[in-house]
Amino acid sequence: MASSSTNKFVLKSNDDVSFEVTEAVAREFQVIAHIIDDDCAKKAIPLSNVTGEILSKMIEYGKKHIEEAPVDEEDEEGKKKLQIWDEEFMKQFNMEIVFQLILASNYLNNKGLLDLTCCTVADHIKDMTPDEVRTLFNVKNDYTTEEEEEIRKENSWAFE
Amino acid sequence: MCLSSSPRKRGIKKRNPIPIDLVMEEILARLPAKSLMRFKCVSKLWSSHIMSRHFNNLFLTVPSRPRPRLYMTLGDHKAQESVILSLAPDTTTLSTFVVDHGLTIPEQGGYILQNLNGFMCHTYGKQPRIFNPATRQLVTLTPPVEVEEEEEEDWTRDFSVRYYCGHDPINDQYKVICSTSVFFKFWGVLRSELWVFVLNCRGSSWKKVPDFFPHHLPSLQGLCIDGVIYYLALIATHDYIIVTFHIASEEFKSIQVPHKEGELLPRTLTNRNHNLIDYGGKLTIVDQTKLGDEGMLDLWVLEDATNKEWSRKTLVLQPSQLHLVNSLSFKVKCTTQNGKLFLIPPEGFLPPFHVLCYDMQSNDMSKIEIKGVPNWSSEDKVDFDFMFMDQSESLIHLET
Repeated sequence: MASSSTNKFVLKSNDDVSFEVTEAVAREFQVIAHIIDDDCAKKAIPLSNVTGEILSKMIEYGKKHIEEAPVDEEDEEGKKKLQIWDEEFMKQFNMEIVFQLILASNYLNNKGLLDLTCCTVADHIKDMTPDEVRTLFNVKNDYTTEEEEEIRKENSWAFE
Repeated sequence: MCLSSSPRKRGIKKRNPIPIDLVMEEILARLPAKSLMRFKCVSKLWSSHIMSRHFNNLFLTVPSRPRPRLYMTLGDHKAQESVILSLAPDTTTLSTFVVDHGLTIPEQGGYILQNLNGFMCHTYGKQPRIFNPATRQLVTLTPPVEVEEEEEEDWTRDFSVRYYCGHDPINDQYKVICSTSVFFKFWGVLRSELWVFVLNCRGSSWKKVPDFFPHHLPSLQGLCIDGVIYYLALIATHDYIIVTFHIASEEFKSIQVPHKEGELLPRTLTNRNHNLIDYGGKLTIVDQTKLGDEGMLDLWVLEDATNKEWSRKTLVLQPSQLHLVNSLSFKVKCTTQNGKLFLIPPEGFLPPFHVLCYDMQSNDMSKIEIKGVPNWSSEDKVDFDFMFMDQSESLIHLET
């Protein structure tokens, strides 16, 4: 069996963009790892829920995390380096792209990227008002005015 | 925050909204507690989700959840002012903690009894209080008995009320016990009573424990390990027991403290030189009588509560670190989940201020600087107490 660094797979986005990646990179995504293990991997693996733009970013993330993986649990310097790269990586995206990355990393099951993207959103919304959050996530306010006033009063310190 | 809301709103209509379960499971769990308390106003579903046990567990396991916190109470007897300060580590090395001014809570504080899974159990005035610094929920209990004036004024007798809190992880129950005793100052305990209060249960009230075994006078702070509350008590002059309370069964028992030939434990256990700690999941009496002079800590570990077996262990500081404890006196206060011991100055709060952290495994004592404590106007000596919280935040809401 060829080693995972030489064995190549082609990932194909839903808008027909193909990316050739090493097996190690492909395995960064749990769903693709299962396809490979089940020996169902043909020449190209079609990913029906991911656009080429998003997939290219995910592959960039996956590659970096293989190349720069910390040596072990104790490798604080390695972890820190990767963390700085992660922060820089996320800075280039607007919220719309971040949302798409969340959906795609959830779909392809990459825990690291899901954690990173969700943290980015959490950081983005942490100082928002309830109304801004409702708008962002399209949530319907089902409180009556009195009910909302009461719960707001109970937690007034959180609005300071 | 700069909000250019119209383009963003347009953006929302175009994009695939994130499925609500992803928002609620993955994104909300990564928010700080303060944001979550605010977002309870978003909708009824969000509110009940944020308050659920399931979400609290998720919230605690998120890998990026920040570091431990320290809590300090400062109090001034004269002006009767009191405050709780919340401190976050300044660096990853945990060598400095800084007061987070946003979390300074006035008119609270007093004497900290225990850290209980993210709750701070403390007394304020004569009232026992359970405070959740993450959600700011404060539960105040009315004492089960009123101290009678005449008993307070009788110089030969004294009256003591002590509270101990505990959590039983199996049934997820929180209970508080109250031990009241009347004692002659010179001859011993006259009578004592025990009371139990079930927290997180609507309409709960104090229940008196019938026929409790020896009359006793509690001393030192108590603690809770694996669903059992422990505290030290005096039953006669120089005669101590450990009282245990099994939270699930509400059964009280007593364990004799180790008696050593001649010098096992000193005849008098004092607040200043002794304390109870959780040492690797076992109840342990720390004797620090020889800490200042010889850098020695004696640990009496309760190896087997059923058979009442104790073992003794002596820790000796590295000679190069002895200066940390012999120039200023320090008192053992509490332990962390990973086996570190915190020591605080017993004389009150006097700037510049630091506490000590002692790693019992690697035998390493280090100084922790405390910064950003607001100016305390009073010239009176300031009372203070201290609590370390491994799990910095819990969202559990106690029903009352």
